[in-house]
Amino acid sequence: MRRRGDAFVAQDGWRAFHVPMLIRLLRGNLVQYGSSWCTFNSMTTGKASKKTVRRSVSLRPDIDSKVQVLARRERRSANQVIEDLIEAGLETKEAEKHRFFELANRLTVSTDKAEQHRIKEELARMTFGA
Amino acid sequence: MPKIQWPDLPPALRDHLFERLRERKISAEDLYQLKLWRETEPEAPDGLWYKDFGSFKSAGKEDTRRHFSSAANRQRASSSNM
Repeated sequence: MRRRGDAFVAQDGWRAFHVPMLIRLLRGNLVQYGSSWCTFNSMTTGKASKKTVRRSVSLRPDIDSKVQVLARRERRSANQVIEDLIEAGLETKEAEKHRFFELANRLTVSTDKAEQHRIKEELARMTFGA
Repeated sequence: MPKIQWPDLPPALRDHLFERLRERKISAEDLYQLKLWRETEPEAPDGLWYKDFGSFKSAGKEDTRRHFSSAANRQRASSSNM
């Protein structure tokens, strides 16, 4: 990508946006077209990016220091690290829920006593912990 | 206040619960709600307590839980009392 004035032109011929304009576009609510550097005939009026919510969360000191260590190691902000960890946690929860219902369904259709026993053991671990 | 103790649940009681699940007498959704509730590490009130999960109830005394009662069981019990 090389710079031309305020716009960027990608090497494959696609013309990119003026950077501050791009930022505003990504934040949504921008309607402008026809600029010399803009090859799009129309732009979206919808939200082009995910809106963020500011939220105050208290962390235990030991969790907080682990987050700080991760952030330093990965050269990212603590906010980004926390967001990724929450996302990963939510995905894990969802996968665990899926597994739980899959096991429950398998238990109801299984005719093999040994398999039933195995499934019950796993469900018990999931339901009541180790 | 003491927390409800889950790991020392008698195996026979556990088996009974999952057998009811296999027989579809209790629903997987309700059992999943029990799991979510257990993860909150609930505190045990003084004396007898119970919690309704829809297709079954979990009941116990103080920090131990001794009984799961499905809706079918409750119906049977109430008709035998009549």
